[in-house]
Amino acid sequence: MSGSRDDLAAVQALYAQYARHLDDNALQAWFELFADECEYRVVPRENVEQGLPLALIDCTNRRMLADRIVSLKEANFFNVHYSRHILSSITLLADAGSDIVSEADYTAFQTDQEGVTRIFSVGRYQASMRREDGRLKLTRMTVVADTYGIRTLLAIPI
Amino acid sequence: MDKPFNQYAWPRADFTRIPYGIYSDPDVYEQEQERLFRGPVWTYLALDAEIPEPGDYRVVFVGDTEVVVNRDKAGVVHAFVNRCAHRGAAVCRKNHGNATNHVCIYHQWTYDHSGQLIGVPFMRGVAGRGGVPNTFRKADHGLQTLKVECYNGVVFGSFDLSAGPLRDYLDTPICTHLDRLMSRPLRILGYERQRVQGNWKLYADNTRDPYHGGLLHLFQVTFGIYRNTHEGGTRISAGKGHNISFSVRGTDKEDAATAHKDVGTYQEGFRLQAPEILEYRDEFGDGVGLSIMAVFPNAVFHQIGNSLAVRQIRPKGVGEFELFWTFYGYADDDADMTAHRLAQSNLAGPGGLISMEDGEAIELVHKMLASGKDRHSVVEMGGAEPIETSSILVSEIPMRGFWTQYASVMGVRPDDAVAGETS
Repeated sequence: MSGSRDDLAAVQALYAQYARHLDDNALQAWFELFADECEYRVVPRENVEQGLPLALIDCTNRRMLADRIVSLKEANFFNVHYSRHILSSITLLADAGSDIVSEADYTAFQTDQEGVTRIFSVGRYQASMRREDGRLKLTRMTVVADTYGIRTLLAIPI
Repeated sequence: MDKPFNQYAWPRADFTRIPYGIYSDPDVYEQEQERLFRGPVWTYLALDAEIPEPGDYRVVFVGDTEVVVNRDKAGVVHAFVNRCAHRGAAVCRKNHGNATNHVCIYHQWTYDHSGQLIGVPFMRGVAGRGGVPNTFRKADHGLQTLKVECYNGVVFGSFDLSAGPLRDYLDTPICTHLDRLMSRPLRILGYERQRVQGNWKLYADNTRDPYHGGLLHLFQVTFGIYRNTHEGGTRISAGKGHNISFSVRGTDKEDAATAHKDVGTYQEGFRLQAPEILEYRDEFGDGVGLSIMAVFPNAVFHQIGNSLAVRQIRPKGVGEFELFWTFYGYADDDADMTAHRLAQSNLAGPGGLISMEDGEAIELVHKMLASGKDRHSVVEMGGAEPIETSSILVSEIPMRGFWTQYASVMGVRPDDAVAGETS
């Protein structure tokens, strides 16, 4: 367990940007938080617990993640809504080589055009981060969704 | 006919009009549970590969009735309603697992894998006093069982214990396609679940409407997974309710080079950075890169490139359903093929690049139905032609097939149902 006070502050700042960009629908800025070599997955908790590899979103490299962002912008139709992500219990777990490994709990709300807010997803972030050019970047983000019964559809990343 | 069906006008007997009230009336919903799902149909339950070992079980749904499907010590698959014969409690509390037998926690009544009652605590009371009457026979108090049959590793169940053979119900087009999909032992890759705020039949319609695929799902149009200009068609069962729509890759009217040039572009400057998500490995040797098979009443088998899955539409009340996706590959897939299937799973499911729109489209329809119960949808794409196998993909004819079989099972006689031309 390393997890210096500086590391914790940097990790908290990265999570804060991550949530803010999603909630502002700034998907390109969100994408820029990922390192050149990175993975992004949204995984149903029931699959994790049964040892099954299937993910709801399974981007095993940065190119796939870039394609998904472009597709959301150019090709997909989805429900009109605001997102709001609330994070808690940000924890540093260990250094795995040069990566900082951390977890956080999240709640993602969606608000529709009548101003009615519903819980969209709760679960846990499992993230690995690395300093690139002096900035902390995500090398891996696995979103383990307790809410694996996805309301309507999953477009904007969690 | 019963009240719900008398209430709504069917302007035409050929099902080119569907009354909106049929999607939003709670009485219709209750009758569907009784007449259709607990009636003379075979319903998809699970894949054999999900319960490989003796004692393995999964809790599934037939309509909105919770059913346990499990394998006994001899390897035979049984299914029963998950409702204790004593007080009605759910017997299996976890939605999957392995059990030597099934014990209701309330009073520990115990059932074997076939649903037979094998144990009642204090059956003879205590010290000769109490217990059940001497007339009580355990054999009379088993769990409510379903008839079960498997076709090529796909498990179906029916509440109708006198239901005819599954193979006859599925009919040749479906069996032929299942032979194609289920030719090798399966490996389950995982599950996805989607809760849609709409009537379950809107999704049954959706999967019998190849017309929308080339319009709503722009991702696949852009990248040539499916275009309305592809060669392909629809195959329809004798009962009309099942159908397969399929298309052959690379058969646009342009020549191959022109078609290839188009792949990977979308407007100016939109090109996939990871085009391998579109790579189709022709594992069935027939060039069919996309096939959607809908089995009446509520199962769908998809092949989107090399992504394979079964979807079950699980009604959760008149205005909500769960779409339950079971993704699979084959047991002899190597690591690279499994990775390829997982990469292509990005195309389907609640977050699928070519499927997410269905959730939105169905909710857009459903929210408008309640205020228009006396109105109806128009289903004429493909013409008011006979409901038959066709090479036309710009078509809603298979949707009319669903309603033909629905009306038959629900006891609506189309001619009676026609209340005169209203539009």
